[in-house]
Amino acid sequence: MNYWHPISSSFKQEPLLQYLGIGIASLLIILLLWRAYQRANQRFLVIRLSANLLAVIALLMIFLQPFKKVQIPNRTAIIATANAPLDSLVENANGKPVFVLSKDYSKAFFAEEAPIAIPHISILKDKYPDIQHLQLFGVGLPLSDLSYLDSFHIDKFQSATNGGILELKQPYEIEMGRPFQISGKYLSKRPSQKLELIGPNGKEELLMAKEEGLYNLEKVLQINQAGRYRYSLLENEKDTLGHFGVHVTAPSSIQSLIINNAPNFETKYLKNWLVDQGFAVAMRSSISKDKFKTDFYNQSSYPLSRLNTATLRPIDFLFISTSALMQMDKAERNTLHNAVNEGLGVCVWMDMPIDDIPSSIQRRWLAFSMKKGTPEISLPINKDFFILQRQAVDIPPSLGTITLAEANGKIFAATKPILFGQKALLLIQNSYLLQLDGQEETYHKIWKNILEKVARKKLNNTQWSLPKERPILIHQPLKLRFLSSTPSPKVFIQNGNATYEIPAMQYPFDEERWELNFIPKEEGWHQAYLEGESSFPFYVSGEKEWLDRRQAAVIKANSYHFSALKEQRLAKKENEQSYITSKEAFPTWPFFLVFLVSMITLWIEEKL
Amino acid sequence: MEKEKDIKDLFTHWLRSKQLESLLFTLSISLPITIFLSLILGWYSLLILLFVSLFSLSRNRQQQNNLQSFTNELDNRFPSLEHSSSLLSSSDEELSSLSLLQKQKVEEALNQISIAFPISRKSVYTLFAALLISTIMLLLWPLTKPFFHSSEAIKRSTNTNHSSLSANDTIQVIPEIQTLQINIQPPAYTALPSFESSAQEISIPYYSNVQWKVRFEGSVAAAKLVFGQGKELPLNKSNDNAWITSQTLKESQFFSLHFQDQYNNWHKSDYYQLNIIKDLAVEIEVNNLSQFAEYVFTKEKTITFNTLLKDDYGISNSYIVATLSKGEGESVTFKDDTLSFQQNFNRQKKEYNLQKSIKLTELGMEPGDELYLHVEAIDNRTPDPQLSKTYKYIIAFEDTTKVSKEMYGRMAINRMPDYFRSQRQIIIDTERLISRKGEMTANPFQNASNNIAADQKLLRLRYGQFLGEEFETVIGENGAADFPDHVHDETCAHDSTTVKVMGASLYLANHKQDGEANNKDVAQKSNKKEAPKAKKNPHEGHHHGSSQNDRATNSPIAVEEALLPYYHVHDIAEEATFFDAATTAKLRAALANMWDAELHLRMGEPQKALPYEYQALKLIKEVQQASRVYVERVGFEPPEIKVAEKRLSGELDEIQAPLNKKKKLIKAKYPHIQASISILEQMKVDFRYPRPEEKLQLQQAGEELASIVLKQENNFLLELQQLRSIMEKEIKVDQFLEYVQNIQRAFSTMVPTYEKPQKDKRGKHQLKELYLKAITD
Repeated sequence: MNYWHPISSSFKQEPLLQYLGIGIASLLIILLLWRAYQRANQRFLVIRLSANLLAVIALLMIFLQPFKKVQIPNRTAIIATANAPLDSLVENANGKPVFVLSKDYSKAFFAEEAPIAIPHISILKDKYPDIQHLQLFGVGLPLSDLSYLDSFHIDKFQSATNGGILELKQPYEIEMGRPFQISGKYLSKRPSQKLELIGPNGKEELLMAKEEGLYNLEKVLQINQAGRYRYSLLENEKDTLGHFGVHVTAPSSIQSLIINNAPNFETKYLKNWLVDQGFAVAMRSSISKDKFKTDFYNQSSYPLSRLNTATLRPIDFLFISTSALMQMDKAERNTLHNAVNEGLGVCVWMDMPIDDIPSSIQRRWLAFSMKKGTPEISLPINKDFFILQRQAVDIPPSLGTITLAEANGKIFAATKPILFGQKALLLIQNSYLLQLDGQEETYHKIWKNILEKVARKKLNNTQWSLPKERPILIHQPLKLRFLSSTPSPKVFIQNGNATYEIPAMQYPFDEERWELNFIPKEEGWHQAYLEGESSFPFYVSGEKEWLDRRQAAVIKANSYHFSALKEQRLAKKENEQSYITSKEAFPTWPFFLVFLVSMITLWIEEKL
Repeated sequence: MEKEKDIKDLFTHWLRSKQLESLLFTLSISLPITIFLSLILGWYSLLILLFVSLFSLSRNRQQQNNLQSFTNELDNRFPSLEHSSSLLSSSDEELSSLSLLQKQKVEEALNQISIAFPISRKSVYTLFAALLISTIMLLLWPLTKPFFHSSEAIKRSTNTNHSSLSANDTIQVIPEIQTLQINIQPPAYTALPSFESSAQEISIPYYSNVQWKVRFEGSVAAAKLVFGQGKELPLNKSNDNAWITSQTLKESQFFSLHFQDQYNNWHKSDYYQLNIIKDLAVEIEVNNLSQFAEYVFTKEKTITFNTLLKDDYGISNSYIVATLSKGEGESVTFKDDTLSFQQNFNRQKKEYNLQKSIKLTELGMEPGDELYLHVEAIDNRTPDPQLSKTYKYIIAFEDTTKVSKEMYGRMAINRMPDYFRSQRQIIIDTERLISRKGEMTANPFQNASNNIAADQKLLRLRYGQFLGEEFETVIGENGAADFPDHVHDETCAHDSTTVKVMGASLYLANHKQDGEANNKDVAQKSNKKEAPKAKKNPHEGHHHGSSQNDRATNSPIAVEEALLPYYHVHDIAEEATFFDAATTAKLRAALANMWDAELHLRMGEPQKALPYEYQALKLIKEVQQASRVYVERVGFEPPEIKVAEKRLSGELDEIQAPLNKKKKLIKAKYPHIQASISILEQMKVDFRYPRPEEKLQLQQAGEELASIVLKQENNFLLELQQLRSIMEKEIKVDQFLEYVQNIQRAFSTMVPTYEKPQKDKRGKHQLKELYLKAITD
């Protein structure tokens, strides 16, 4: 059923304008009619009034642009996306139009011949309003375009992927020297497929798929130099599937302080080990009451006779024995405790039996639920056991306790987060024997783990995060999230010489959490940064890269999208008639004609 | 006047039309010419246009003054003017009456005709033709390019990136290496033939003379070899147009060939590697000679050993150096001697198997002396022959007359002479004998067991001394103690080995001397299954008195013995020992165990003797502990120190707190190589050559890589070459990535794995910090 609407759809969106227009027109009509009526010559009054009315109405119609709603019959069309059997579809279309997206096919299509190339799915609705039913072939549409299909009835005939990389996970930022893992899935559609990874360490074999099938990819890599590195994934030594980038951050130094009641081998070897790593180390040992021997390595000296906030602020890791703790007064211990709250990592070395330690110190510094244990611990090393002495207590695993070192199920070093810092406890008395016995590697492993877990964390003003989907692709929307306490942060993204300022959206219930959307237009390294802060680099892969992965993502997105709509959008039979309505603008030329005739009439009428 | 004006007006109109025609004509001529010349000469053609235009305008000027032409044209065009239009330009005064009449007539005729001066069609057609020609020229011009631009194309193609070319049009030819021959002459002593090679990597013997011979295609002004360390060796041109040089090489090198063309441009070749095969020293292997051997002195003692000598090229000489050491302490003397192998060494022979026998006494060795031997060998390398030595072999003659000191737990203790070996040593010897039982035949085994039994006996006698027993002071089979209280007669079944307790000789057992076993008694003893237990009666086991009658069971002595448990003997001095009863019993038990051990050892059953030996050892140790006397110290007793009061209470004003400052810099092994990895990555991603600031870093990295190649730590010669090619931009586009990746891979292998601990990261989240602070405060 057709009907027309006197008010244009555009006006419907602007109600104020709509009412204003009607009001002005009504006033005009009344004014003109009143003027016409007031004229002395009353002859042809009716003609005059009618002509005036018609002129005003015509003017009004021109101004308001009326339209009419038209119902049109249903039509079915075929949409062929990538991997669709295009020739077969065209051949067996049975009168149905076949559409392809220009970007899916590189060859040219001629207009008015099947298939019809369209640049984007959104024009289908406007250009072919009679098409209501779509049969979708191929891998499907990109996620961002799926919403355009919501108003259609869809029959999905989705193709499988051609194979290749379906999934890839890799970190975007790692510390120098830390091993990292890349993993993923590879679908081999042919036998004897070889995958290689080319990076800064040269070519490394990733997979040798002897038969067809789905394979899991896993590789542990390590880069020993800070910088930005690009990895290339090569198939059969000739086809580059794509690139991804990894940013390796420079190592951060750990400043340590060792406080002794008396010099001993354990702290001596620990100090030597820390110095060998290139760290700044300070050591304080009591030689008498209020007299200390202080040693400084790789740093300038500073007063250590009494610990205060200023002294502890630059320290990342503090190693202190329980006897030294007992030697301190309460104020100094409180200062230490406050420093832990602010991020300092303290490792307490229990160098005396627990019964000799006052309960106040136990409560605050040895806050682990301990029970009696053996005085020795056997460390398995190279199919042998190495015996180390320890305090005869056990630390059972519990909530909040992080194990730092254990042997045969017995924990001999553990830590607990205390606000922003860590309080750790070490039970071993003579780990230095490992060094004396030539087990430097084991010693290094144990203390490396303790140091990394306990030491003060490196504070980043802004913490960036990328979406899980990797690699990042060009021309695909990218959602970047970051945490920052800067109010109204200005975010910039730089690529080469171009810098863009991107507006960020704040989360409603977390004023420090922000999000921004960005569509990279160039491939290569990009940097995101807040004004005045260091940058966060990420790599964008090019348009011809990761085609298989893109296809797999499209297939997955389409499957999910259409399965969610399955109950709402049931396919209808072809011969079932259903109508949709379309808005057709009313031609305005009749109104112009009416206006003209009315004006002529008025003019002639005066001459009569 | 008005008519004159009119004629002048007409003339002006006519002139303008003529000028326009002239302009069109000029354009018609100059346009195609200009276009043609501009395609060849460029902007020079505009000058020609200007010239032609000026020429054309100058023609117009002539026409400007040519009124005559104007009137002629009028007359020709308008017959009604009767060829009298020139009269119109003259004044009336100048004309005759007839002329005046004619003038009037002409004026009338002029007024009746309309005069127009259109542009001639000819000029328009000419312009059109010119336009057509110009258009055709512009369209067809690209086809004519090869005929006019070929010389410039060649010039561009021969223009390389080296120094500027000369102004003339000659084509520069870059010389190339036609052949590079390396002739290697190994040193004469190796007896290796000389050989030639042109391979990229050649292995040559040490100290070979290497001759390079290069032939070039093209003209070369100079050539030189540049080695890895920067050292240069110029090549000299020979008569046959080859470039030659030579050098003797002692260490591995890599080099490249640099040659200069006639335009003073230097060109470089690839790198070549020369690996030196080192001449190894002689390998000496000595067999049948222990590192340390101690012998009992005999005059005929001779040692014999084999020596195997091996060398890669030849051995020139070998001998034994013997050093004899006599004396000890400050009076020690050394005497060196050189012994030959009695072998003629052929310098070319590479292997010898020599045997040598040395009679030690011939060298002057005596008991207590030590002889240090080692073998030396010299190879045939010329110059600088190499000397090899073996370890020192020590041969000593035992000096049994002196007590040797042993270091035991860092304390020098006097070790008792061999015949007073300890019980522990006896146990060790017994266990060793048991372990070697399978390797020995019956007789040597029995002898060894007997020897241990003798030691056990001597030890037993020694410990028996504490119980008042006599012990032997002389080693030997015939040693016997002289006991005045006892007289041997035929009834004595015992031998001279008797013991004496408290001045009386006692008869303990009917046994024989060393080396002879009393089978009967031994058989009786061997029937015992258990070790004898310690007897509680201290008096048991010994006799008082030594007369013959004592042996009778019903004798007074026997009676006395029976009464012994009921009373003590205190009048015998020897009975009063330091030991108490228990200790004495233990000692007696130990002695009894020693008896049994000795018994089984003499029977050749060391495994049965072992338990008795252990028991004896245990008892001796208990006796040692029991025999210690602890005496309380008397004298000054210091007052008790109150630690809590005294500790940390000293005056510390003058004591300074020690402060130490040290710096330990951890330097990267190859810092420039490490830094270059990220530079190469940027080059790879951006697909570009290094920037000037990056070039310096890469250059230094190249130097580090060159040092690695020279040290032959790794073979990165190809990567070094590729780095040089990149620095000098001498590679093809499709090779760039491959080169960069290769170099980056090589650099990455040089960088050690970074295993230092690092800080974990956390983000600054103020809200979270405030929240956590609030809940903990």
